[in-house]
Amino acid sequence: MNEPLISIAMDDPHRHYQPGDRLVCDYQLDAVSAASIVAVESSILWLTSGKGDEDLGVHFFLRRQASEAEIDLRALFRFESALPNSPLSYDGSSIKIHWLIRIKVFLEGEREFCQDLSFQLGSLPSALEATA
Amino acid sequence: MIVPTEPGRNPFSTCWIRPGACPYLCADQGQLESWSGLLEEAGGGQLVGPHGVGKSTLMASLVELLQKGGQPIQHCRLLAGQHRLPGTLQPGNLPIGCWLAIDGFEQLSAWRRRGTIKSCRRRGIRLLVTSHRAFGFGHVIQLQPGLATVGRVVDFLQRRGPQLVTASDLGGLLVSHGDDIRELLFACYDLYERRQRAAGE
Amino acid sequence: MARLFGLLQKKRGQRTTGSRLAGVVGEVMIFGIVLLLGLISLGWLLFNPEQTSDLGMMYVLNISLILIGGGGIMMAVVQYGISAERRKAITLGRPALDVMQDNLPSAHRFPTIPPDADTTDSPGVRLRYRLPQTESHFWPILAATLFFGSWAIVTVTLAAAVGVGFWQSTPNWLFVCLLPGCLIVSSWSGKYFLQQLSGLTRIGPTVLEISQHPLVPGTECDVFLSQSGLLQFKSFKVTLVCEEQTSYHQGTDLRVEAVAVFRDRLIMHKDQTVRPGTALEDEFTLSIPETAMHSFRGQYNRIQWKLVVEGRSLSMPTFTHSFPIIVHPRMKQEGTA
Repeated sequence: MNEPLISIAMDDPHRHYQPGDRLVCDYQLDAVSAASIVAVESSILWLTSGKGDEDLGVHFFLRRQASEAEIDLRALFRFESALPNSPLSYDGSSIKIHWLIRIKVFLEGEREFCQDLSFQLGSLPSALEATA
Repeated sequence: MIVPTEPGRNPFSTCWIRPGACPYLCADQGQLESWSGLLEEAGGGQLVGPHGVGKSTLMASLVELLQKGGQPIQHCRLLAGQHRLPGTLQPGNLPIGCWLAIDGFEQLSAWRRRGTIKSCRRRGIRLLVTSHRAFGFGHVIQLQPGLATVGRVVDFLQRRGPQLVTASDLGGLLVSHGDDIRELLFACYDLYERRQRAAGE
Repeated sequence: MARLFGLLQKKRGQRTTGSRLAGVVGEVMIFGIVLLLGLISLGWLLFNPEQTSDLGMMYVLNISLILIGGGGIMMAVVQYGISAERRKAITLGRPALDVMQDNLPSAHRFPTIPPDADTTDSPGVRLRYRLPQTESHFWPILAATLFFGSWAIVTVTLAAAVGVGFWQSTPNWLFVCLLPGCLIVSSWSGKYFLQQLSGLTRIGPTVLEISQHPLVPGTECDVFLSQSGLLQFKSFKVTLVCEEQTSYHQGTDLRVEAVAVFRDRLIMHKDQTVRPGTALEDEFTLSIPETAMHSFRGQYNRIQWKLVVEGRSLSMPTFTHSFPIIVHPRMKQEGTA
């Protein structure tokens, strides 16, 4: 079976937010039958990358089950959340901090598919050069 | 305009180089299949080499290859302080003829290592382990990656973006880090980062 | 089908392949055995109390087994099918159980930024706060004392045994052979112990006080330094450092790295002498760059700001003292973060 098509859109086309801003996100699913979807999870999270093991923090989480109300989980769905004060997006030397929206789709037969869309929180430039 | 950075943008980030994330890339394309065949003939074996040489990565690739070939296999990674196999992976609890792959065989005590080898031999279980020295069973694969293998790994990691770490860098890095490919890849991370920033400026 | 019964799990970054159902079944079986053991033991204990000498302890043990087994089964069933993101979200929703965490509002307002209670609970004399130091001298001096002490005892005992042997014209040649080695180790450990002791007594306390904390990018604050002791410094400097610290686990290997991404030398003194009863004192200004990253603490990664005091002396090895400081992000009302 093909992968479902997960489309994500944020209210800010530049995907650049400040702490305290309200992030509004729409997503919808295509190329998948409604009956095969068990649940859809949407989350706003940050994670690190670089030379260390990855850290992960979840700011917002919502799970929608197919068994709850008789709704088509593929339909366009909107969620929103006020963004926190920290951690800010950071493009460091050994550590980078990324903010993303993650939509995870759970299908019958324990299959799951995931789509991420990154955004910037704060306006920090790249890591400062070390000065003697 | 600030563009959000994607996780793992630097191709040498740990998410791309940890065992399982990157396949073991031999200099010779058929080498992996050849090793798999030798291990099957010998009824198991050892992947031997110093720290950071790629033993766990090779084990992950061999396990995947054996699994694709329909071989039943149990895989476990022993961490620091873990001195015994989980109960479900004790040779006595495994079906006869399956593979048991242990990453970090030296975490077991000498007595448990001998017991595991004997039990596997008795039950016809094919044992595949990673270690820093040979323990005298099965086929021994001594890992000594050279410039060609390292070059393939670096090309593979940079396949989706600019090739900022070039072949001319690798000779010096290999001399500095010897067999420790993990440290070499961390050095590539720093080099890639510096060059990417310089290109951005 | 193969995936449902596959016992092999393969990890690809944050994802695993393989069957969660098989994993949950295994967990339920293990906790079920623990629960059954607790129930059977409790039942036997209720009907045969006279067979046990310590009834209270046995009841505690059996109830613990029942709770662990029952709790484990419930957790395994509840967690079946829960994704990593949902698990993390559940953890975040749970109220803090740490009663020592008395600065919950700060942690709640600035997630992942270390709490500043260590500093704000420590008032200064000259300025508002006194910065805590990360290094402790206690363990190195204790280790040096124990090491030297034990080797000194062994050497003295061995020397006495050798002396008695020669006195009685029946020398123990094994002891005679061991004695030079012991003398060398004792001499070296004694020298190391004296160095540590000298460092402890001659390098007095380093005090750093700060006028505000936590700090914010684009702002300045005053810093007061006091260094006492009995030393002649070749150079003495204080540097503001921002460090990225990462840890990477691979099997049994742990790789830790710290990289300074910002360094600003604040003061530098040369050829200074500090005598008992006096102190090297200085007041200066510290400023956090406007585009600086705030402090960050994750399980494996940290961004740490600190003041580093470094003293080079003619007669002593270089000493370094670190004083961590917390930097918060700039808030909207102060300007764009």
